[in-house]
Amino acid sequence: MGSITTWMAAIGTLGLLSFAWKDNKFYSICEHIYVASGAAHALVLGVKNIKANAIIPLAEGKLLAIIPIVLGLMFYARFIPGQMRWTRYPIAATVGIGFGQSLPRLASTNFVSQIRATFKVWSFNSVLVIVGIICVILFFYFSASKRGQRFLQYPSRFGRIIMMMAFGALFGNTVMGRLSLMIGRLSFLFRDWLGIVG
Amino acid sequence: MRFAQAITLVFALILLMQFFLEVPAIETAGGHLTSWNIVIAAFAMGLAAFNLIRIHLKRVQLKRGNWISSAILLIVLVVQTFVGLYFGDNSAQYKVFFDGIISPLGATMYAMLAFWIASAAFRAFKARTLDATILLCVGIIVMLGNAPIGEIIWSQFPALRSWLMTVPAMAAVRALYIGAAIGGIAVGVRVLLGIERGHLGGGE
Repeated sequence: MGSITTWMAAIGTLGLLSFAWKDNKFYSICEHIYVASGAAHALVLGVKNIKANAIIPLAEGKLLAIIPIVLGLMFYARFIPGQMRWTRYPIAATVGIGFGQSLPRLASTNFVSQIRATFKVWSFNSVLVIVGIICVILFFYFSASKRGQRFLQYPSRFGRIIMMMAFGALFGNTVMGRLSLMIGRLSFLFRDWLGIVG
Repeated sequence: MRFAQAITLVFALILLMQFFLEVPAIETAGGHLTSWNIVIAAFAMGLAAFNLIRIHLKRVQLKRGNWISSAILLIVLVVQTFVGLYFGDNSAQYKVFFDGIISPLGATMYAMLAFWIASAAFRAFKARTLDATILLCVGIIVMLGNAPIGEIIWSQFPALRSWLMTVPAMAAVRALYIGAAIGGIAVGVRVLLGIERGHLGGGE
């Protein structure tokens, strides 16, 4: 029976878990509190980021810091009738910066590094991984018809089986991850809140 | 539209050049753009919060549907934002919201998914075809390999689980990563060249 934080967490946890029985008012209130808290947290961090990256540099005389403020404010033009077009510019800026930052990393970590890591060690398992990768990629090869072409059909079929094994494995891992979270929540309720379990 | 496209192209090119070239001017420009993006994203987050407030305020004003929950949402949103801005996000006062609401309720939300995943799996994973049977069997083996009971049933379950994760699962995930990278690069190039204009509200 701990502090106010423990009580808040316990009541909220019970409220959300009550949905397993059926949709009810208690669940709805806890859900809304969670959404509000998440939004408030994002808002607080947002203001902190604006202050650190725009307001303080502007106060120090770095006039370029006005540009992101103007671009950011353009988002709110959607609330002025007939001025929706201004929202294009911050979106264009975000997309440009996002692609500029992610494209090289996408190419290096998701493409080059993956291929490099595949051919690093040579063993029976690594050969299986290489064959698996080629077959899965062949499964997504749609430039030519696979019908009647055995050299495309069989590897593609094997790729499908490999993917099913992977999805099964990922599903099993996800379920176990969620269950461990559930055990964590129950242990919080029974140990930290009620003090029943030692 | 053309000016917006030019913004996308110029900003992306500056950051692409920053990755490949070591030119001080480009590095400074890239640094500016990175911090600008944080500011623009913060404004976008504010827009989302503003929309949330608008929708729930309307619901409370009209006393429509589940308006009591909406009123509570607005109160929590205002109080937490005020505490966060006044005392700071590292303060003990703000920590109450984080430790009492965000962290435990987030974990509970994810934990609840265990039920829905299990019930969805029960309906979907019927071993009708070879693919579904493989998926079902591998899923069960991985679950048993993760749980202590699996080792009691058969001592090799953890080793089998480990092999499934490091060989077939890794092969498929790597292939999907490679495919996603190729797709991502293709979309990126299309956006930079102005072929893809969906994000600006226009068709191709």
